[in-house]
Amino acid sequence: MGASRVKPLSRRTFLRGLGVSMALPMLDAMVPAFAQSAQAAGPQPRMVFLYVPNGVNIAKWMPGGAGAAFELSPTLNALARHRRNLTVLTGLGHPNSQGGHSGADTWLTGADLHGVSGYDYRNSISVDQMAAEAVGRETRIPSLELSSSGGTGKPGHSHTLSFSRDAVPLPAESRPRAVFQRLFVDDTGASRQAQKQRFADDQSILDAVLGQANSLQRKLGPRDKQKMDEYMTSVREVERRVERLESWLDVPKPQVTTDGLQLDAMPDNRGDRQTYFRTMLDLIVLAVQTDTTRVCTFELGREAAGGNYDELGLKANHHELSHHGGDAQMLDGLFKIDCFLLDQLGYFADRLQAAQEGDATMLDRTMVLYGSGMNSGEGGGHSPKNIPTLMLGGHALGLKLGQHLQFTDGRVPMSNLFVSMLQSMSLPIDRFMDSTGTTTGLI
Amino acid sequence: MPRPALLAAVWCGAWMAAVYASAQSDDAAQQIDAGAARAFFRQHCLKCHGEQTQEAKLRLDGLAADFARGEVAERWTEVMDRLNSGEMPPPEEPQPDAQRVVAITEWIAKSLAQAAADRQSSGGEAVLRRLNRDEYNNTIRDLLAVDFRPGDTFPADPPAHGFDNVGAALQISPLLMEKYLKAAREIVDQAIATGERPPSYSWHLEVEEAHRSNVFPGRQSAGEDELWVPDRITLGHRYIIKGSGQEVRDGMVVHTGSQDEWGSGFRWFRVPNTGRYRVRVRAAARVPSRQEVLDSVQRIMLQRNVERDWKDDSAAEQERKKAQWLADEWPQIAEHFRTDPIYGYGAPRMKVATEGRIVLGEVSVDATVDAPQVYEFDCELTHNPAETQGIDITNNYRVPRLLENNWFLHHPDFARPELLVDWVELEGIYADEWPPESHLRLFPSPPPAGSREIDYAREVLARFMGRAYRRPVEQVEVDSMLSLFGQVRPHKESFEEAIKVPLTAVLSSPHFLFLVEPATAEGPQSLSDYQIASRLSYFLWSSMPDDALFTLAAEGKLSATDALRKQVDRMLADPRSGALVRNFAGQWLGLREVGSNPPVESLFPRYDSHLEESMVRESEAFFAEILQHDLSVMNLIQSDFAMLNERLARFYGIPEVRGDRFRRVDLPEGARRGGVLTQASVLTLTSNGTRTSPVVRGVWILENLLGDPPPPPPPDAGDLAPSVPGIDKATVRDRLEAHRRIPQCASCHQKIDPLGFALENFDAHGRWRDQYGFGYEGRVHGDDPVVDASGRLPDGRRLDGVESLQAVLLADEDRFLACLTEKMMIYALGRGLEARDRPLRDKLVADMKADGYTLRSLIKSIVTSEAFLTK
Repeated sequence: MGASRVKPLSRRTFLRGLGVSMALPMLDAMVPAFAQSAQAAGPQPRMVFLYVPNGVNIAKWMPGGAGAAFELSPTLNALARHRRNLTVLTGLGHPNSQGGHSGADTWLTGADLHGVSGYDYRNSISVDQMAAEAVGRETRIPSLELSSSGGTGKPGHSHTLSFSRDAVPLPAESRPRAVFQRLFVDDTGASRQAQKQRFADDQSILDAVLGQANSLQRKLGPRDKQKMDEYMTSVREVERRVERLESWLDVPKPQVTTDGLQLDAMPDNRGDRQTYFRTMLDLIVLAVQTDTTRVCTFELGREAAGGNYDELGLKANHHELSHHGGDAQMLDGLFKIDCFLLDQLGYFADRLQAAQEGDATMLDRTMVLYGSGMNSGEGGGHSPKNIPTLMLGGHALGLKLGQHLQFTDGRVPMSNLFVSMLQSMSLPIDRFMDSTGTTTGLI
Repeated sequence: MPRPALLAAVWCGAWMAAVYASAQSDDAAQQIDAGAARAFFRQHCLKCHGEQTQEAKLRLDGLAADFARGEVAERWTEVMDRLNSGEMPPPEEPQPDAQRVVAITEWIAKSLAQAAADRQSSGGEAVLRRLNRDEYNNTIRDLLAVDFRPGDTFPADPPAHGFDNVGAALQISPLLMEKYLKAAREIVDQAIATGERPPSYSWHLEVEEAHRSNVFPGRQSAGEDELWVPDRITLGHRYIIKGSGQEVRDGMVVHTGSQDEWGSGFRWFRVPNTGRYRVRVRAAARVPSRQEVLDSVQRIMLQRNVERDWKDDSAAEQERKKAQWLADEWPQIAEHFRTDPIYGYGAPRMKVATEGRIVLGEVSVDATVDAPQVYEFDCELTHNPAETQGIDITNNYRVPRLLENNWFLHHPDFARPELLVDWVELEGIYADEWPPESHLRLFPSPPPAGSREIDYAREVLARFMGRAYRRPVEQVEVDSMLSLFGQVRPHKESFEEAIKVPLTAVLSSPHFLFLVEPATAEGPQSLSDYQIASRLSYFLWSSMPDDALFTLAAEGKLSATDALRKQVDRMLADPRSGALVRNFAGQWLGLREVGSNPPVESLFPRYDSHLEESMVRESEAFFAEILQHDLSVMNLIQSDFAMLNERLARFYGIPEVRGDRFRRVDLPEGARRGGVLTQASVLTLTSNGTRTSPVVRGVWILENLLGDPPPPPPPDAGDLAPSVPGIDKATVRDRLEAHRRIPQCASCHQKIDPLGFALENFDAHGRWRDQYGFGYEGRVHGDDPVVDASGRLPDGRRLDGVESLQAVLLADEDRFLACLTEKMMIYALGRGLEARDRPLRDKLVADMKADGYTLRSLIKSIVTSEAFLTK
């Protein structure tokens, strides 16, 4: 935040919520100085993670054949128009996970939740946060966490896919209007001034408590010292975050109109589900398109509950259906839900594809990972093996698309895929959790 | 249709077990040692994994029993897994005796767990512990008399050893630090009242004005203008009284709670100020008798017959058919309505929520129509130019859909509990007094005339810091906060605005956030009286010490045994001890898990939010009853009373309990309840939403009542097969028995399953059953299998049903008492236990037995123990 920072232009860019033309003129002075180098390099790689609870009807999901000549399965047929941009991965899993209803907890972390001694439950950093730690420094919002339930949920029944380096669940936002507000609505001038003062106060407070911690540290026994170290590390990190927020304070947010956005849609309003999903997906499109963030997670529903899809003519809820016990009628219900959700994914891909960015589309620069943390299998259990996984987009980032990558059950950890994705974000990372390498055939 | 299978959650419970391996003198694992393991290897393993050959590069001779070393532990784990899975020794080799394999693998598992515990060991000392969320909320409440719960937005506290107050596991992350800072700022903002008392308005709305459609009130009464919302948002209207479309009777709107019913209330208003508001609703109830239910069903059905099936018949013919129907069909239908407890309706449930879906409260309304009552709810409303507000009142009483054909439930004439809403009022800003209590806590008196601002700031800060840090503060500490005040004062408009900054710093300080116990010397040392005061108050109240404790600490009189025992009595009598019930019993029994994986509606239509809430309240009230009335803790295993409200009594089929209040009920003969194992909470949280899980229930008993968590499962422990070849209607037992035929599963399940099977008469939400239901949505048909709750423990004792299980647990009294004592020790000390804590545990158990088996005696022994009073 040196003196050399360019004063940002006051002119706004305008984006329509839902429109045909979405080209976004990026003016250098509109982003903070430290982010300019990244902007100069053109559109950046992004990653979006979309999670569906309760697994899928795996029998109708598994594609036929392998490699580029694979055949779409009945479920995947919903994505036929995106076949070229789609890679289906089968046989991946999280060997450390217990399955059950903690699929959302471990989908992006691969953690053994009960494997850390001294804790009854302990997660680990999720792949999106690994990316956000690096690329998030260049955007207003390091990463965007969304879920239909909101908040963090309970350990083992997470309402968020994202976990920080300290394994803290990052609360997700469920309300479209609140997301829009955070992304695109500027604070008023008066409150900006107040915020500036607040940041200054915060820094003074943090300085003061750090001083206290320092002198307390000397009076503590060795084990207590470690705890006080944790405190001081956290205080220093918060100081850095306050600095970061301060540096964005005078940069106006990209201006986006609310046209066509149903910001009051709710996930549990009957018949409103599709509108809700599409609105949230629209917001993700807008968030990455305006480079407000490059990393998003969205949990479309929570595990072990809810999802009464009566609009699809189903009597049992999503979770009940997932315990189908091989029952044909229940499996058919699951299939209907799977198709419905893939329709939403198709819509999302349409939107990303419609936005041209130089020589490629936004879809080409966005890796969309879609899947579930469990496989309800042929008997209707919740196994963390062969979890349904789709990669959509990312061609310009070097991903080989339009194929079915088949892995032997249980041999290749999902974490390998995460390493591949992190590398496609140009991050020098070669290990994630229990990874044994990268995903052969994807890059 | 068979219900789908799931065993996925089976092992979670086992994994949750505290790593502290508790003592069981009769445990097979203890008869094994490294020598026995070596002998086993010699006999069965070394041929392929010895000096000569090392298949799979594994060599077992000379494998040290050093479980703490990473690579050695990994090899032991490998051995355990291969033995467990039955993969080794290979089939062509001589097979070891199964019991011996079990003994070896259990020994390995426990040794590994012990090593892990040792690594995590805090050497028997409580590690510097930060406040958890509940403690934070309570502390703020007691420190500043503000009653909002800022801690609820903090990330969940990681539990360890079963509790979320274990210092070693309670970390601080940047995210949490950020939230601490934000919460501190909000707390201080709310606590300090600047300026005059904010204007208070009151709005009164007769909801029946809008009974057919929305009403935009045209008439002016005092204050109404304040709710005005300008054109742009509301198309020119002011606030709206919500139209419910419901019947109006006696000037009140009737809510029956049937599906698709709209609520009463009002919306599209904007409050003029941000702050606390009070919602008052005048309401009454009409609860139809069972006869009225029967009459209404008969009327509805006859009417339908006439309109649909008999419409072409002559009047005489209709009369004849009617008589025939009443004689042939009606008695069967009537039987259901006459006998099922659900039609002995309770009071309607009035739920009041904001448009933003924040539930302000849900109460049973028992006022009669001749004497409606006013019910009050508090809420925080924010003045936000971009948003409008609303208040929504609904009847949340659910009549479960029990019959396959339940169209009549939606018929408007069907008799159901009715909520009648007369009017609703909103008042705010609502303040009992001005300036509020929180302000006076910070500024008990105005600055003396002519005094310097800085001196007043010093006085305010010194007083606050002493209470926030829970000890006397040093001059230099106050000075540093004072310098913060001086630093920001030039940038602030007022003294109050400036003092907020150091006050926020105090609430973000490690001295506030942690229970600091500095080391004054090497090795164990006695705690100061102030530190003891905090340990006591956070144990019994989950909050800071009160003035009485501070006074005793200041006088140096707290550490004496008599004083401590006296304080326990005083503190348990204080309502704040409810925190001990919620946090200790809630976590020990797992009550916080109720509702995480709720029984699915189609199979368990009786389950609703009121029942769920009542389940948890029952177990809490039960524990509180035992605690407060010094009953024997063996009542937890079996009791001749239960703590019930009407909702739960109806669910259990126990008559004549009226109202939502929990009270002690002597159980009638044949009630089949009494003790935690018969409580719907425990029975539900150990089921998986669609069916019971005897394995989870068995593990729950081993872990929480017997202190003997089973070792983790082999890695290939699969799900239960959904069906069993050759059995048409496979019960959980059939399926589990198929699973147990796999030898490596059998050994553990022998110990686990009989305990769980003894509870099989309680279904997945704790309702009694004699027969499984294989019909549509779990309905029972005549030839469905009957419940078999029998089994045999490894020691040969036979079980059959819950009473036999209770008898076994009562007979194993010492194991239960040891288990309960360990849990209470973990909670009281905020740390896991170690081998060296065992003598203390045994002494505590002996003390408790000598003193009436009460929780009070256990608590008193703990707080006067050296472990509690030293660091």
